[in-house]
Amino acid sequence: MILSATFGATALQAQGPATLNGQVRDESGAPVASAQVRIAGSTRVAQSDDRGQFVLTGLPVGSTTLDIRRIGFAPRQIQQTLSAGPNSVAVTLSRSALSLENVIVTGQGGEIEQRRLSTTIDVITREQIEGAPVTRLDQLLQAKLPSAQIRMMSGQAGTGSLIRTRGINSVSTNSTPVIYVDGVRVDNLNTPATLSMNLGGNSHQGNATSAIADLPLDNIERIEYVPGGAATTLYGSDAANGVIQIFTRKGSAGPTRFSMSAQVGTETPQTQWHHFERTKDLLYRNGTTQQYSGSMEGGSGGFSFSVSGSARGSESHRVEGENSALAFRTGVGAEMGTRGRYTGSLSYNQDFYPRFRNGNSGGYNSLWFVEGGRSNAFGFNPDLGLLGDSAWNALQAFVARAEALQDNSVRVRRFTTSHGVSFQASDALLFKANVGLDQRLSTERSITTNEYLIHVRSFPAGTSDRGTIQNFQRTYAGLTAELNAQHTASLGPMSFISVLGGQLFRNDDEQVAYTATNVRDGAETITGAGVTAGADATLRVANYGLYGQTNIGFFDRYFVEVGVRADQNTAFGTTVGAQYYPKLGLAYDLSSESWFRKSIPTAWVSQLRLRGNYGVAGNFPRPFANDETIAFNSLGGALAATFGQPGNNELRPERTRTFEGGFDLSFAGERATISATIYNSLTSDALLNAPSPPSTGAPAQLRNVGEISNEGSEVRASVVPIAMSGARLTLSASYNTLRNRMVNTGGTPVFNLGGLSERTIQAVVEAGQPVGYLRGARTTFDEQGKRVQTEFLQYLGKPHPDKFGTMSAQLQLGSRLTLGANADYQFGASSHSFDRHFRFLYGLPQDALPEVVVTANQRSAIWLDVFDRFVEKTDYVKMRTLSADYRLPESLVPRGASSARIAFAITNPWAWSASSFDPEVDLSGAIGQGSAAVGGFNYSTDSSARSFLLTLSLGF
Amino acid sequence: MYSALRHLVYTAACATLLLSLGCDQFDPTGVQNPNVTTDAFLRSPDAARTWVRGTERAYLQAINAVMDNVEIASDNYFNNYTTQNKVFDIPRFDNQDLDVRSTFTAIARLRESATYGLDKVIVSDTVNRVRNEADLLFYRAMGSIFAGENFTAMPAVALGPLVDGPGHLRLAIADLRRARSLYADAALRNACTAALARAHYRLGERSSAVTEATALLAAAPAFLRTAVFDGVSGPGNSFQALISTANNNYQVLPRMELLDPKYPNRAAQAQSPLSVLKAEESHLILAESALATSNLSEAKSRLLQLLTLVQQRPTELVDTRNQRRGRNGGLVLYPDSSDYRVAFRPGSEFRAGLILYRLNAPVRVPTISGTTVTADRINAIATDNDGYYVLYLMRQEIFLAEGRRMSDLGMRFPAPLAEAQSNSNVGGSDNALTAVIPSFLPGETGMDAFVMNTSARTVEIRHDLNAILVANRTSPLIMPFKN
Repeated sequence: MILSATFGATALQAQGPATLNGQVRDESGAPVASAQVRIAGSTRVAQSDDRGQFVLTGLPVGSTTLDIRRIGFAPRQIQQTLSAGPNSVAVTLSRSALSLENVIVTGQGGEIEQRRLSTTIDVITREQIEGAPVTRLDQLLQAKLPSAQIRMMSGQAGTGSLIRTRGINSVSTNSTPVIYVDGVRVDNLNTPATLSMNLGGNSHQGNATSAIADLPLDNIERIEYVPGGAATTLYGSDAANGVIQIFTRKGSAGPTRFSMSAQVGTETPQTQWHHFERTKDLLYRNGTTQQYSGSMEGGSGGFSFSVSGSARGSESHRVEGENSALAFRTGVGAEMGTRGRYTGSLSYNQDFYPRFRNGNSGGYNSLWFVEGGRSNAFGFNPDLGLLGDSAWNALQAFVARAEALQDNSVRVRRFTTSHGVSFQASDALLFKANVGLDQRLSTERSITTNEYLIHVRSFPAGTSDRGTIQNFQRTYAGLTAELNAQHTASLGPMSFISVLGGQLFRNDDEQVAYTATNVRDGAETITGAGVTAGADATLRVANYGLYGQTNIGFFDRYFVEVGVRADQNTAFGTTVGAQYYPKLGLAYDLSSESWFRKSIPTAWVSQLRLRGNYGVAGNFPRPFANDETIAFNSLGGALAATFGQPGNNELRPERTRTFEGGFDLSFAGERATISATIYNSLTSDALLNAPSPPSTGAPAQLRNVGEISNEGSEVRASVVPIAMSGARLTLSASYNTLRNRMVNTGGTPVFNLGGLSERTIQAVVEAGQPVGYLRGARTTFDEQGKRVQTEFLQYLGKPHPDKFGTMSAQLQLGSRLTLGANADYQFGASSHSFDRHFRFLYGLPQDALPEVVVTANQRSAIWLDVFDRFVEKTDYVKMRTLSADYRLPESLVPRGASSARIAFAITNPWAWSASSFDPEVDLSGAIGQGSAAVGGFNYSTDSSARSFLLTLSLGF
Repeated sequence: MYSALRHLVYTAACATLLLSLGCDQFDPTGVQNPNVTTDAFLRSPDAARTWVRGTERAYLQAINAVMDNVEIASDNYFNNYTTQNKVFDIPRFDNQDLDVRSTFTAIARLRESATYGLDKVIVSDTVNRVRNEADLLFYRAMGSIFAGENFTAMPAVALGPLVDGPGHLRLAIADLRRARSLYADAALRNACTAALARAHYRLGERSSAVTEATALLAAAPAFLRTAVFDGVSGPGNSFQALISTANNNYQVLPRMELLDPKYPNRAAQAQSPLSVLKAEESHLILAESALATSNLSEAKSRLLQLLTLVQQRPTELVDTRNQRRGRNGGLVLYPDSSDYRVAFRPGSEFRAGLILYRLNAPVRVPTISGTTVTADRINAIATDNDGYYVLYLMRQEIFLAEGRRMSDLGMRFPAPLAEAQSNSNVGGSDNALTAVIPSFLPGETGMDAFVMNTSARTVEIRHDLNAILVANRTSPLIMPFKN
C-alpha cells in the first residue's frame, strides 16, 4: 500500500499532451509484431501489434529518442520531435542474424544488452512460438535451442521428457532446467512424483506425467534460455542445469484488437519403427485434433492488456487416447506516472490425459503384447504377419477390449500469477519488485475393474473382489519474490551496469494417495470399498539469497562481468552456512576496434566478439534429505517404528564450476554468422544417494561425495544464401560435442539411474565411466553355437550422445509467405531394446544371434546373457516440423476482419535412425521424484504422433 | 530525483518496520519436516512397543528377502517368469548381485533394529521392558539364524568384522537362551526352544539339538510358529505373490507339484502366514540323529511319527485355475494335467498322482506341511542311505517354500562386495566374498531341469538331488550330524 501511494503521487505528474502513432515494418514491407518501442531514459514502452502498429500517449512535447528493438533485427534509435496532439512515425527494421543488441533479462537481475555479456543466451520469439505446431514447451524447444537436447520419452500425451544441456551435471537431480514465467519459478517436475500412478512396472516409468506438459503456450511474448554456468550464477543453488524464462504478453495500447484462430488436423502414428505392420491396426489410428483460440488486446493511455483463451481436443493417434486442454491467460501493463510501471499476468489451465500400461508393467501391456511377442502368453501366435483372418479377428477383439477396459487418467489444474513493479528512481537507478505464485493440482486415477482383470486373464471368470482404484493427488504451490536495483553509470570511457538484489522462493509440494481394493465394477469412488488405504508425502523447501553483479564496459568494446550470489536453503545440513556462487566474465568486441575496422571492411566482417567466463551454479539437495528421522508403518493395525533416513548435517548443494570461452562472428554482409563456445565444467560435492554399507541395514542417504566432469563444444552457424527483394532464405545449424565422465563416487558402490535389475541391464554410475552407461552381460559363442564365455556387468554403451545439434531452414517469399523446416540429430548414443529382446525370447524370427547359436541353445537359457546383442546405436536425424505460413492479401481477408493467415504444418514428418526402434522414446524415467534420468531403454513405449495441422487465424 | 529517493527511503523504512512486526506470523523460509526425528521418537510414550513392532516388520521383510531368493537357488522352485532373480537358479551367486546384497541388508537391518531397540529404546521407555527385551532378542536371533544358514559370513554389528555362519548361529543360541529365560508365555518359550534346535542342528551339535527337539515335542507336539503378514499396510507374504498369481513367477519342481501353492491367494489383501518354526523339524532332527548313530529302527519310528503329524496338518481347497504352469509366458512349460507321471531321476519308475489338474476346479493342497512319502515307503527303508534319502525327501517336502532347502544343499550366498568396499574391517579378497556351492550339485540350471514328453505324458527329472546328497553325505557342507 505504501508503495502504491508513493507511485500514485508520482503518477500525477506523468501526463503529457503528445501522442505518437507508429508502424514497424521489415525490409520487405511486412509488418513486424512485438517490437519494443521505448522512450529512452524512461519506463515508457509500447509494443507493436500484429499489424506492426503501436501507440504511445501522454508524451511530453519536444525532442525525444525512440529506441526500437526486436529479436532478429538490428535495433534502431530514432530522434523524434513531438508536438502537442497526434504525431506519427514509420520505422523500418533490418534483419540481423547475430543480434547481440538484444536486451536480455534472465540471469542478469535487470535488462542488459547481450553484447555486454560473456555468455550465450538463446531467445525464442513470439512468431517462432506461434508458428510451431506443438502444444507443450519442451516440444516447442526441441529443435529451437541449438545447444540443448530434448527428447520426448513417450508418445502418450502429457508425459515426461529428457532435457539435457551441457551434459549430466548431477546423478541425483533431474537435468530439466528451472523454468520461470514472468519472474515466477514454476513447477518443472519432469519425473514421477513420490506418490504417483505407476503403469510402467518396477522399472522407472517413462510415462509419468510432466509438469512441463501443461504449461500453457498461449500468449507468450518470448522465451529466454540460459545454459548453466556463469549465465545462471545469479540463480545460485537452483540453476546448474540452466534456466528457461517465459515472458507473457502484456498487450499494447491502441484500439482493441481481436483475433481468432482455428486449428484442425490429424494425428497419425509413426509406423516406421513398428516391427509388425499390423501393430498400427491394433493400437493406433488417424485421430482428429482441433484447437480453437481467441485473444483480445488493446489499451489506452498508459494501460495495456492482453487476454487469450484456447480449447483443444484430440482423439490422439492412440486408440482410446482422447485428451483435452483448456487455457486462459491475461496480461496487463500499466504506467504509474513517468517513472513507474506495473505488469501483471495470470493464467489458468486444465488438462486431461489418459494413460496406458507400458514398459515393464507385466500382465497385459499393449506394446509388449503386440511388439514384444507377449501375445503368445494369451494363446495367440505372436507373429502377427502369419495370422489368418479368424485368428486376427480374435486378436483384434481381445486387444480392443483390453484397451477399452483400461481406465487410467490424469487431470491437471494450474493457476499461475505474477506481479511486477518497476520504478525508475532516476535516469540511472531502476528498482524492480516481482512476486507471484504457481499452483498446480494434479490428480491421477487408475481404475482396474474385475472385468479387466478377468479379460486379461489375471483372475478367473466370476472374480468380483479384485477391482482396485488408486488415486494420487499432488498439490504444488510455489511462491517467488524478488527485489532488485539496477544502476547504470558512465565515467569517461567506462560504463557500469550494476545490479543488487535478493530473491526468495518457496515450494510446498503435498501429495496424497488414497486407494481401495475390492471395488465393484462401475464404482469410481473408493467410498464403501472392501479395503481402503491412504498415504501422504510432503516436500517443502525455501531458498533465499542475495546477489550482486556489475558489468563494466571500457570504450564500449571491452566488458568485464563480476557477480556473486549468496544462498541459504532449508535443505542444507544444519552445519552448512550460506553458499557463495561467484562469476567472472570477459567480452571483447574486436570489431569495434579502429585498427580492425581499418583492415577488415564491415561488409566482410560486421561483428567479431570474443568472450570467456568462469562461473559457479548449484543444485540444492532434495528437501528434508538432511534430517535424521524415524520411519513409521502400520503392522497389524498398530504403529511400527524403524530407522528412517540416517540424516546428514553436512548436506550441501552440488556446485558446478564452468569455464567457457568462445567467439561470435557475423560476416559476409551480415549474411553469415558463426558462434562457437568450448566449455569445461566440473561438478563437485555431487550428491549421491549412496547406498549405506549393507551391514548397517540403513537406507540410502544423500551425501556430497561425487565429482562429475562435462566438457564439450557448441558451434552454431547461420547463413542467408538468398537475400533479395521478395525472397530470403535462412539456413541455421548447430553442432555440439559432449564428453561426460563420473570422476569420483567417493567410494559409493556402483548404483543405477535406470533400467531393471543388475543381472539384466541397467544405466549405472561408476567412477571413471560416463554417467549412466549401460551395463549388462555379454556372451561369445563358438562356430558351433556353443557358449564360450559370458562376462557379466560389462560396458555396453551409453545413453547420451557424443554429438548432437539442430538444423533449420526458413524461406520467406515476398512479405506474405514463409516456409520453414527444422530438425535435430544425435550421434554416439546407445539404447537397449527390450522389445526386440523379448521377440527373441518368445521365438519370433530374429537377427541378433546367428541361427547356429539359436539351434544349439534354448533361447530361454541364454537370453539374459546376450544383452550386448540388443544394445543398438541410437544415432538419428529427425525432422521435427515442416511449415508454411501465408498472410492473406487484404483482398482475400474476410469482410469484417483486418488480417488473415493460413498455416499448414506437419510435425515429425520424417526421421532416420540407426536403431530398429524409435531412439527417442524411453521407458526409463527417474528413480524417485526429481531424480536424475539418463534414458537408454526402449521397452514397450509409444512414439510421438506425426500430425498434420491446418490453422486459420483472423485479426479484427 | 531527490524527491523520488526520499520517497524510496521512507517506503523502505516503513516496509522494514512492518515486516519486522509481522515476521513471527509470516516467515516464508520456515520449513518443518513432517517426519519424526529420532530424539522426538525416543521421548514419546509407547516408544519401545512401537519399536518392537518395527523390528517385527524388519523380521517379516527379512523373511521375504530370504524366501524370494533361496527357494529358487535350490531345486524347489524355478523362476519361470522375468521379474525376479534370473541367475540363482543356475546357481550363480555373485557378490555384486543386487539380490545377494538386498538379502544381506535385510538381515542386517533386522539385527540392527533389534540391537538399537535393546541398547536405546527399551532403556528409554521401560514399560513392559522384560517382554520387549525378550521379543527383540528373539527377532535378533532369527536374523542370526538366517545369516548363519544362508551366508558365508556377515558382520555381527554394523561395519564390524565378518563373522562366519557358525558364529552367527552361536550368537542366535545366546540370544534365544536369554529370551527363553525372559518369556512368561509357554508358546513363546517353545518358539525359542524350536529355534534353538534349528540352530544347534545347523551347527552339527547333535546332542544339544536332540535335547531341544525332545523338549519341544514334549511341551508342544504340534508346535507351530508362523510369520503373520499384513495384507493392508504390508509387508505382504511376497512368496505368496510369486507362487499364487496368474503368472506363476516361481514354478515348483514337478515331483512336488501336488504340494503347491502352500500360500494360496485367498482373497484381496489376505496374506497367508508362513511357517517359521514347527514341530516337524524336531522329528526330522531326531530321525537324522538316529541315522547318524545307525539306529535305523528309531529313525523309521521317528519318521512315522513325523508322517502322522504331517497328516494332521490342514489342507485347503485352493482355486488355482489361472495357474497355467508356464503357458502364460513362462520360460519353460510344466506338466499341467493329472495324467502326467513323474520319474524322480532318469531311469527310475514313473509315478502317477504327483501332478494336479487345475484348470477346472479348486484343488486340495497342504498349507503347513505335506509329503509324497507314505508309511509303506518309510517301513520299506532297509539301509542307512535309504533312510537318509527318505529323510531328506521328507525334509524337502515338509519345508517346501520355507527357505530351508538352499542351506540343506550346502550352498551359501557370499558377502556382498559393497560391504568390502564400504567397511574397513572387510578385505576385498576375503574368502567370504565367494559363494559356497558344493561341486557335486549340478549347474546350468540342472537342479530344476526335467524332460517332459507331452505324448507319453511323462516327466523325467534330470537330477534327484536327495540321492546326490546321500551319495555325498560325508561332505562337510551338508548333513550336519556326522556322528
